[in-house]
Amino acid sequence: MNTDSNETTELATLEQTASEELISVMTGLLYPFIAVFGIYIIYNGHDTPGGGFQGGAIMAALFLARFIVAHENDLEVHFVHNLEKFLFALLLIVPGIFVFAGLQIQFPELKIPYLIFMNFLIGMKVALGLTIVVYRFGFFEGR
Amino acid sequence: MVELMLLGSMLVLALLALYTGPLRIAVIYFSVFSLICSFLYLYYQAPDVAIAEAVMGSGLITLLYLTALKRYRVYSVCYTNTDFPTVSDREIIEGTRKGELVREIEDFCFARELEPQLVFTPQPVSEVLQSGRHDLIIHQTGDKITIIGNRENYVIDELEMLLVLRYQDLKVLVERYGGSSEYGDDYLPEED
Repeated sequence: MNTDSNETTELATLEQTASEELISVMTGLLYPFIAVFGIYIIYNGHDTPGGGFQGGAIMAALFLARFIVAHENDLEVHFVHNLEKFLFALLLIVPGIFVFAGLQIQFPELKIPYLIFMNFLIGMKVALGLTIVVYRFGFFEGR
Repeated sequence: MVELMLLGSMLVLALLALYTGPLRIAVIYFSVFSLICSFLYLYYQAPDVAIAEAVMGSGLITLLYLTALKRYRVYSVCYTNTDFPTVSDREIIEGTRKGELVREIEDFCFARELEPQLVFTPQPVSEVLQSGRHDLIIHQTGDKITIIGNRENYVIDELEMLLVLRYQDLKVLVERYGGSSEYGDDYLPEED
């Protein structure tokens, strides 16, 4: 090891940290836009293109951007998994009550809020599900 | 006209993704393919599907593939040197001139969690190649290093960059052979 090779090593690590910083700063700038876009698509899903699934996939990109930048396994995957199960149960219960209890005939003005709420449930479930898939794959499989 | 252009570029990108050797570049081609596919959905007035395709196809799938590629393992690395046929452990630990390169390769593998087995052999490269037992062969003659490996193995590119950056007085050559399972029967490096 001579000083020359040490200098080139420093240069290489410097370049690496610079590119990592570039990615993290750009992702940080994009973060709110991704969130707003995802919420917009879920919120307007019932009468414009988009909906729960598409918006949920965009919201999942929010978590995955964190995965790319931080590369740390600090997400409680078990908690997320349980939350997703709870959302799935809610997803079955809410339409059951709304449709079979006759609420949609009694209160026809509730139809739009109902659709938006269902889209939000679907979106959250899809976002959490995709996040779990990638986190599990990234941190547990094949190690 | 627009439709024809989009369809044509999709065909070209699909073929590129299929026939590109380095897998990371192939994944990027596939991602662009998905993006054009989503444009086409939009053109056919299916914006719903277009959004889903853009997010899933060019976002999440690309990320999953790239994560999977990080799992590409190098199981065994073979190091041959015509000047000194054997390298002892002590020389590697002390980092003398004989063991320096080996140590560099070990550090490189350790940083990427590859955990390969390193093999030193006095055999000529052609015999090592024919045995087909190693994922990566590093051959040194004087100040000339040859790295031999599969075309799809992207570890080679990083190793080449490291060696070129660190040892400017050495000549680094990279030889690649094709196919995922075949071990270059048609390929034999030049013997010095």
